[in-house]
Amino acid sequence: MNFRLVFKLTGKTLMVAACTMLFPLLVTVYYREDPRPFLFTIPVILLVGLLLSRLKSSDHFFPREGFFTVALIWLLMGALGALPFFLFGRLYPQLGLFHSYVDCFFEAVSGFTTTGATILTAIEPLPKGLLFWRSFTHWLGGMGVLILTIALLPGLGARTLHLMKAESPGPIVSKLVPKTSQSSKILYGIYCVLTLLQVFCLRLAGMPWYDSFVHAFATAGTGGFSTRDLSVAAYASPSIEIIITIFMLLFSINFALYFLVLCGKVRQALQSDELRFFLAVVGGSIVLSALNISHLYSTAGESIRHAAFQVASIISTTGFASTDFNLWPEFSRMLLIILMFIGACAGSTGGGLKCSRVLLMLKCIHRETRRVVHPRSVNVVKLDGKVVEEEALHSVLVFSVAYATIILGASLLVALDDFSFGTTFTAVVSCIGNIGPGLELVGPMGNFSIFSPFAKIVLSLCMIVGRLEVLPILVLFSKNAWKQN
Amino acid sequence: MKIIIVGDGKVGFTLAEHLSQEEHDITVIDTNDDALKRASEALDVMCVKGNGASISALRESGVDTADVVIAATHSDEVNMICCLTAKRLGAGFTIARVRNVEYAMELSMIKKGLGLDLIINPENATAVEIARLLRFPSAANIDTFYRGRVELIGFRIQEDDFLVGQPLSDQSRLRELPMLICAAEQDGRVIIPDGSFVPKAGDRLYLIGQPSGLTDFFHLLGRYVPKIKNAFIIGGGRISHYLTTMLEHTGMKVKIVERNMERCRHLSEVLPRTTVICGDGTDQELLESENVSHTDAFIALTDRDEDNLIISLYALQHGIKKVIAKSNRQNYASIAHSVGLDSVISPKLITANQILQVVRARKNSKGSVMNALYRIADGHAEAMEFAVNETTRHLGVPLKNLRLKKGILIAVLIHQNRIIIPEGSSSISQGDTVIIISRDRAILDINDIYDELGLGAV
Repeated sequence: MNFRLVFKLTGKTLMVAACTMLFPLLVTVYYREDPRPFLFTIPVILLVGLLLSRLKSSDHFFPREGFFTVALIWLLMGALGALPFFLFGRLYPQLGLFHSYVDCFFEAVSGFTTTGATILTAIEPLPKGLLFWRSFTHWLGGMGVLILTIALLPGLGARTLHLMKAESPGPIVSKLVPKTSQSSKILYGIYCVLTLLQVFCLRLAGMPWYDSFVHAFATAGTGGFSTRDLSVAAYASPSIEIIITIFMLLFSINFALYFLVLCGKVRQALQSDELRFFLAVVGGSIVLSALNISHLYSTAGESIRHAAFQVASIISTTGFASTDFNLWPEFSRMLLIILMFIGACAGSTGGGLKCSRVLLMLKCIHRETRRVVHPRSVNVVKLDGKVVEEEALHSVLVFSVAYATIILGASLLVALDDFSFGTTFTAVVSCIGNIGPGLELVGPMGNFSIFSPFAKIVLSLCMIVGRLEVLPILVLFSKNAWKQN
Repeated sequence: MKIIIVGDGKVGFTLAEHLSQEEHDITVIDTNDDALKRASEALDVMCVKGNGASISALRESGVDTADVVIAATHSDEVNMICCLTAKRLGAGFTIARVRNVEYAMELSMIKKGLGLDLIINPENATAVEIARLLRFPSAANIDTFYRGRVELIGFRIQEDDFLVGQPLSDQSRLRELPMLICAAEQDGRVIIPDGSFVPKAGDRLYLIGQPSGLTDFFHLLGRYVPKIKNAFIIGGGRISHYLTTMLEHTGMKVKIVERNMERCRHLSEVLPRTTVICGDGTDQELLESENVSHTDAFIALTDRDEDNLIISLYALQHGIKKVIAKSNRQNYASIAHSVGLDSVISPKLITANQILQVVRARKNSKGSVMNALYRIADGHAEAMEFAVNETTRHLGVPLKNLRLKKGILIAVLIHQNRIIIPEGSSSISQGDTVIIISRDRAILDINDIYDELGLGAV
């Protein structure tokens, strides 16, 4: 393991992260709020980053260094991103928010991993700058801090693909153009344009500028932090709900498809198997849950609107709520739990297992049944008309098993807090899937402040495990990775 | 520039490596997953799986906007079809690797008929390089400039050479020779030497100048190796075939040892003046019975790098004056240098250098014309020949008044057909040819050597 290079890359990323904190600082200054939480944090991160990036190192960079760097950066981002919250808690103890560091860490990790689970019992008393930072972490974490670093800093070396692979979600990561740094720039370009588009749409629908930005960041990263206690339901505006529904779905589609569209290959983009599967699942779920909840709302239009918003919110792993779906009938609630597992498309900003993995698993099951009928038949699994390598299929299956194992293990640990099965299990599933709300006590109107500090740490780790797709964190804790030979 | 490389083998990979380091956008096409995986993990390139001669794979790689397409698969025919298809689909410049000896005779016809812009034959190029080394056996490696009138050679300093231990400025005998020490490898670092440079035993020096001046230098050093009259080649592959044909023309006696009977018959059919021996070239008894120690030159060209290096060491031990080994692996070459085997030839690198030169020249099609490019000192330095034209700046300014970037040396000036080792008072004028040595920096145009920002080292 080339620790010096790992630390050097970490340092560079931290410097970029420190620079991004200038945005919430500007917001604080604009609204004449106390800028101290950011004024103290930025130099600290900058200094740590500067010291680390000064390290001299050799160029040895292999997959394990890539995975290690990504895991380390995400843990550090959580720890350092929590500082503004922590300082705020210390400066204003009378508000009773953020008094323990674990709470701040949970909130920051929940932000960066685009989970959107909160330990805050009340959001509205917080200053605007801090709320801006809270949802800006979604925006940064959605596409990835490292990818931003790759895009901004040239000369990280040819092997940055290892970093991109470890940070981007999905079973098969491929570049858009030959250069990794160029690919990252394109991804961030698409990301920025879509985000700004949503800001303008929300503004047109009557949301104030500040709220539009905060909600657009939270949607773009598929995070789900709002400025209101009641989430999107607080605005009681159908047009805002529809805009957010559409953008949640847009941000959970593979960004490579947007690039294809930009290149004029619209037909090829529409023929993507994953996209078709995703749209089929979304469409089916909306129809089923709309029928199931029709007796709760006065008109069919209203039940379709709420069904669509909740389905989009859960499958995109955003976690906004336009209504308290914890009160829905059991069938719809079960449907939403299944959507939590499926998650968004690979290469998007969303979490979960990812549609392409689910699709490949279903195809594997289909293949195994055929094999029972025709024991000597040879079948290949195809995606988008291309054969999927057995190695990739294998890693999909292993990933799913590891995902399930971690859910079970974490549920066992969280169960020490003695809440009901629904609360415990959906809390873990929603954290590892980067969704945010679960059901019952952690439902859309509840929050995670009820858990003990130990459970909060377990859940925070679950969020990072889910965001980085299991392996990087396992590598970080594996004894082999720490050995020099 | 956008470059598509078809075929991710030895040459394809090396090319992708060098070209991607020069900030080009590289797409690699191959049918083999493992090869593509290796490329995508080690290099900043995009990989496309598919048959490089098929329209769909070429389209997917964006052939219509590609500036250069390089076909280097193992099959000559695929390479040719690939370039033909690419050209029809709108590629700018096409390069095919063609190595079949029979096709080599009809290259101009093939080039014209298929619209190929350049044909690369690594085996032939390697043979040319070896033949050059045999003509000037004192040097470990030779590169030629200005139609062969200027040579750049490398050699290793030995313990008892008079150069050792004194700064170059004290060597009055060197100054009289029409040549220049233009680069040196010392303790694993590449140096552009000045007067204060002190050579040590084991250093590799690079000299540039007229062949006569270089010969004088080796006479002075007492290490002049007389003309080679006979050569012993192990391995009867394509390189041997090309090389023997060339050597036969110069009247050299050649002996080839080849393991495969079938191949031996073929060689003896096409090379009537050469002794072809069927046997294992790594078998010492066979070599001794063929009286290997009395040969002037020993060339190991089997397809296994390891065998080549080991039998070359064996030949060195027998006191053969000139030993050349083929090795495609760069790391083996440095090991070989350390045990005294100086002439290690890599067909892969020779091919890559040829193509690099073409790509650089195309990138800079408006400025000064690059006539030649060689990588020396394991690729840490480059030697380039440029023709000066009206786009070149600072013409007529004495060199001592020019601010050059760090690690750049103007080694040779050719003014009105006269070869000049430049001094502070010399200047570049239009129509000249200049040879430039650059360390760790890619130079595309003569204007790239001037430090016009006044920042010094960047």
